[in-house]
Amino acid sequence: MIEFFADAYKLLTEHYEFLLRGVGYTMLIALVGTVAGLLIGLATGVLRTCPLSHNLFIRILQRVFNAIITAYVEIFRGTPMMVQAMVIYWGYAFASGGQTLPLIPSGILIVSINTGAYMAEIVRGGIMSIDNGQFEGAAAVGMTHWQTMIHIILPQVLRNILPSVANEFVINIKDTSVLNVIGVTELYYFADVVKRQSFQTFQTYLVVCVIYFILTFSVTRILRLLEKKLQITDSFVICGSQSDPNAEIRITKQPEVPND
Amino acid sequence: MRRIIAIALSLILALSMAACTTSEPAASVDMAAANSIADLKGAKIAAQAGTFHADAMTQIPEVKGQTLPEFADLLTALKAGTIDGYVAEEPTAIEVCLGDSSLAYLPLKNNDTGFTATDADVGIAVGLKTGSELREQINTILAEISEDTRSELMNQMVQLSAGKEVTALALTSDAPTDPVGVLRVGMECAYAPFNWTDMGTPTLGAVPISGEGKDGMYANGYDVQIAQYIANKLNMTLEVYSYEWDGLIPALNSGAVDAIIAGMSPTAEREEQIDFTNVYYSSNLVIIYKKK
Amino acid sequence: MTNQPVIEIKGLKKSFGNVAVLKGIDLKVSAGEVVAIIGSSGSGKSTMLRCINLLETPTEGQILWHGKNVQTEIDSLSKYRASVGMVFQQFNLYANLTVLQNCTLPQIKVLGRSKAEAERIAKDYLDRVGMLPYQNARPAQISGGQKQRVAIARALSMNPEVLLFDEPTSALDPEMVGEVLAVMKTLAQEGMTMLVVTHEMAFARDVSSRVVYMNQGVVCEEGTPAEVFGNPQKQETKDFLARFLNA
Repeated sequence: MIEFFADAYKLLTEHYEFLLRGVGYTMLIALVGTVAGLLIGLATGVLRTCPLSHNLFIRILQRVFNAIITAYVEIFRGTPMMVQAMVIYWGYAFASGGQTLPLIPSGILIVSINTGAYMAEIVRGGIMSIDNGQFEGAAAVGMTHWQTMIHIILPQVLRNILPSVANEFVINIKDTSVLNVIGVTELYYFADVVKRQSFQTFQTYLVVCVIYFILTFSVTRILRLLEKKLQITDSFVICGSQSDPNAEIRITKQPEVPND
Repeated sequence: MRRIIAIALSLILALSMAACTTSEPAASVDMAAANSIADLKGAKIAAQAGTFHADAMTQIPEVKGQTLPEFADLLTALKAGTIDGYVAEEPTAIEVCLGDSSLAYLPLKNNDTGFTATDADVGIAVGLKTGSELREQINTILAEISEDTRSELMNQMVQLSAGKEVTALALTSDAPTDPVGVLRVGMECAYAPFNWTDMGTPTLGAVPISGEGKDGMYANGYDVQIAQYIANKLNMTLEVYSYEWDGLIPALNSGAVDAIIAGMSPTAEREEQIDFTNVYYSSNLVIIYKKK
Repeated sequence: MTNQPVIEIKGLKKSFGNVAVLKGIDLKVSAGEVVAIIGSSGSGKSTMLRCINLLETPTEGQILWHGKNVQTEIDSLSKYRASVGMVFQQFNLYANLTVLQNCTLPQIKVLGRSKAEAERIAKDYLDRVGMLPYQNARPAQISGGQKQRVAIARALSMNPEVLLFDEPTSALDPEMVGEVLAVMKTLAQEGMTMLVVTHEMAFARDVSSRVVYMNQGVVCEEGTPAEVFGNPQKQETKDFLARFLNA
């Protein structure tokens, strides 16, 4: 038992530089991927809730665009991220005749579009949870859909979906581990390398397990503090993850509670 | 009431976990006493998925076979006691047993006491894109390396990867002063002593692994030395890329690498997808097991 | 041109699916008029009001704004909506903004006013509805009556030609109805053109210049308050008023 922990400690001290670099890339990919995914979600949310135009041409364009977004959401929610990574990375290599995408950017790209598909649903749920009166109150004074979204709806949506976004971030920290299939040097990749060199499978994964937990736990705590700052009293449980295609999004409306 | 539910739940959990571990304890066969694969009748043997080892394993009578995706996982399974032994090439077995005194291997001989295998099964060759003009050039270069040099180089690589000192490599060549191009070679960098990864400090003759975020990682091994020799003789600069075993052929076919030098055997299935040069090393398949 | 109505509704029909809510409405509103629209629930009062600023799209018929069809002949829907203010039953204040921001944001975004100008105008109107002290409060922090007064200030800040009120007191506690009606009464006296859908019969009788009684999707009877309340012509109007006066 003592020997086991001594092995684990030795792994940590011998390879801490690489593990630390893995942590760096994991956090970079998860953070940028989550933010980019949120932006995708917000953009698709605004476009999807845009009322159909009276102009026939624009209306057809809107329909086509909505169909594309729906297909995007369904495909990326309905397939594992690991498979997406393989398809995108090798698909590009074959299509371009041997050019490979740079690894870290492609990792970020894959996480972003995958998260975007989830965020699109989260944002859509968030927009639908906003009282219709907010839209009418804005329309009645002559504000456009875009102005309404930017100044009135999205600020409320963002506050409401923050817990879900935080949840996606935590999921992404864990799920970046699948990117090792294309050789992205995130934490799990280095765990794999260390394991192959040391042949100490269990010790290596235990060390990495603890590192992942420290990462997700601190992120959860920090974001919980942020939520408290923004006074989100309701709990918003988002079930599911990238690994669960049947993720359900349930966002209940923020009750109106006086601030003081 | 709550306590009863808690106890009931933990019982159910325990039962379901017990139900999952269907495999009975290993070591049903006396591995050390075996002289041929016939003596391994009924043993629980594992091999890396997608290799000839996995096919060869089925030659053991009534074998309880198991395949795992990564070579390193086989050792973990052996140490955890879930298998009696696993299939490996002799150089690997020597290297593993040098590094861990609790392990030993059965010195089986191919087509004799061991597995029935052709050179295409156990020999390793350089993989090239179908129709590549490099094939003849590389065959010529490989022919220059004598049988003695090969076995001496392999011996040195076994020593190096087991952490022993080696002062001068058996196979050397001069780096090109005016290279005509880059030779991109793919390998796992996870199959010592054929190819492995040095983290931080490179061993003698190691080559940096190319690719983003791979700073401070070096590849070395028998394959790396052969690749270095070929590149030098082709008047090219060597770049080593590490890919998953299953990613090597896609990498070659997509053009991401120019050659696979990864301890890969020129099996008929692979010949359908890529071309191979002549064999540059051939080894016996053996079984690694845990000493009593 | 002087007697051209500000708003003219011609043959307005509106159906939701198979349900015909409005079955052909004709109505003219001239500048300075205060038109009270009364009728039982489901008679189509609110739907008609919402059709005027196109929150609902008419199924048939026309809405004319200074003689121009609002669906086909006006340049900008935004500009049109800005000149037709609307006060909702549920207030519809922007929940993420303060009272003052509620009144300035539409001015800045739709009318292109500067922030300073928008704030000056907004504060002026907030003062007139007695809500200036609450300018930094959030909608969630003030009462229903206060919210509705802010909503009126928000609508006024756009300097509309016409104000539409959609049951402005129906969602309020009884003790708050008075403060909102008082504001509306002042506006009426100042000559603001108003269309008020309401159940407040006293307001309709005392403040409005014209009363429109709607029943089952059509205008059943209209006239001065004295005519409609004092001497209703139609049996439906009599029944409706009797129910209200006895209640």
